[in-house]
Amino acid sequence: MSVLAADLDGRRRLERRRQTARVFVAACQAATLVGLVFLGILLVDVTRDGAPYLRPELLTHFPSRFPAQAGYASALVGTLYVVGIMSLVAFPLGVLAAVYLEEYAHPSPLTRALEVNVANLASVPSILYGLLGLGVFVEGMRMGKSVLAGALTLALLVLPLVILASREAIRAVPFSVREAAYALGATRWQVVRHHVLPYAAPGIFTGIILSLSRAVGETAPLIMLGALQYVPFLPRSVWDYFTVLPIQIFNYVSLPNPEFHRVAAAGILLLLAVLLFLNGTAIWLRNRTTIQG
Amino acid sequence: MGERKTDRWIRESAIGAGLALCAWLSLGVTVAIAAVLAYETVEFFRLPVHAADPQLAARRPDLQRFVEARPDLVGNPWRLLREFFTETTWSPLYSTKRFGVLPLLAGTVLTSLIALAVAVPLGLLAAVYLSEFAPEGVRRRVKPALELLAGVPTIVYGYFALTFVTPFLQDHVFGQALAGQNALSAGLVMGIMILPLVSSLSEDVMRAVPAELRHGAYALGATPMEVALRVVIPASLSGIAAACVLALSRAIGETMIVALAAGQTPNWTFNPLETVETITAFIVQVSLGDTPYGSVEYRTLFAAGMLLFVLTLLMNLLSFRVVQRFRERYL
Repeated sequence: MSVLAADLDGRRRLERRRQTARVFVAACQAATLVGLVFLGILLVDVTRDGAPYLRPELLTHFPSRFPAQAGYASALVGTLYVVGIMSLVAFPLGVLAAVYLEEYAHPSPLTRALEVNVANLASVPSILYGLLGLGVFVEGMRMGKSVLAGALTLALLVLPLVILASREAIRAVPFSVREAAYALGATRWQVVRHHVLPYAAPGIFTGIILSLSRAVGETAPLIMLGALQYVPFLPRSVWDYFTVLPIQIFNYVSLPNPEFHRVAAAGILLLLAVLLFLNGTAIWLRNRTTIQG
Repeated sequence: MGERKTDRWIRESAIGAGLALCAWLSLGVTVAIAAVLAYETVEFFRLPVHAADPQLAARRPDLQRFVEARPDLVGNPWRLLREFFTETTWSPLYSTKRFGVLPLLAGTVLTSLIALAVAVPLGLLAAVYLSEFAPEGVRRRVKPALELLAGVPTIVYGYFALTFVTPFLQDHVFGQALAGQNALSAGLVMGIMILPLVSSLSEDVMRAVPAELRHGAYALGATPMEVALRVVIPASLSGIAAACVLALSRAIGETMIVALAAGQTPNWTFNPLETVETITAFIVQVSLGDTPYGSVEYRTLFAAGMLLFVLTLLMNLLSFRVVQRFRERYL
């Protein structure tokens, strides 16, 4: 084979390799698009199904046997109630636990075990928290299938998320801030209370709101604690039965009458609106309150 | 002055102890989950023992029903244990009770594998694109947009799988061979749900691969594809594998999508077109009925839950091990 022919052959092969590379890059782009296109189809489909049922009565009516009458009043109030109580329990606990792990704990095998455990807890399937709530709160502590049992179960569910997010935020506080405070004679708690926490606040709040939106969308564990098909009243005390938005949606989807699927789709739009609001707030908060280091 | 210092010391110590308590509470949650599951699971497998005690059985209607339904198991917990792990009929909610958990396991494995078959290739290609080829501006916008997929409540995916994906597949691909509730739609949609888990985590590790390695490969005349497939992916393999195992663990534990779209019929099959029931869907099914505390059905809930707990725990340990063993170090 002459030198010229070998050169030509090499060029051809190089061209082929480049061609394959271009196809590969295109495939990568296409794969990235699949998820986004899917999300788009999902939103369009749910909006098309649910929009005709999006009326003010949706907020004021209770569950009903007639699709045209059915609404989400008890589910909305139940969601507010459950998530509110959950917040009172989970957020202080989670932030304080994070403070301990970042500012107080000395590195030791025990602390290490604690850290691994928090990370592991975040990947325990949520339905197992439902079994925990059923076994410990509903039956063990005799709370019954009440608002309180649901709120406490959700609190345990989001606790690891709050801890992880708060730790990230606390770790990002520069050491010079702490050193300056210590130099002026502040105690450890004073340093944390007056300097580290305010500095870390935007990050902590962002984590809290994201955990909040996780709790609002959570369905599986609450099915075991309050999946009543029919709650035609607003919960008055923490001992009342309750239902929440995702579970009411689940009930409507499970009904055979396709009209109810549209009511469910309208409920999904409500749920997504709540989540969008929460996530928007999280982003706004992060941008607004970030202290320039 | 000295007294004030002591006061201050006491207060500081008390605060420190309080904070420690908050942190240890999180460990308490794990212990509580394991303890509740373990206790109720043991109670489940001891049902034959309890039923063999006539005095106890006379007082507890659930034991009487157990004796009526399964006289062959009375006094023989080992047979129940063997049935649980080896038989292929799961019907604790019916009057003829069989406790072979394999159909639930098959449903769980089938839907999870379908989800992985969607999420791993798509997620990896997306990660390669975002880390290697995408302009910075595109990457900054597309990555959070993909992560939105993980933030959509699973009930929404369940609705979509049941009311859109299944009818779509029936009309355009499989016809009536596809059951109204089936493993395929549930698995496909679940795959999209866990896609950002694979793509985001893989992208992070791919970006951590030092640029010198890429430059070296380009200097040898490699094309972008060759750099991605033969340099970047092998170098970040441990992180990618961990991300995939994590995604699998999430798929195994996912509940609402499978409860709505895969079905509630325990089915010993690996045909994705059929209705199957997963462990999680079974737990939902029992919870929807009114199961009295301590009944046979109530106990099966925890036995199935224990199986789920062990499965996801194994996955987490595996992902931890993978990262430890195959991590590439660049120093």
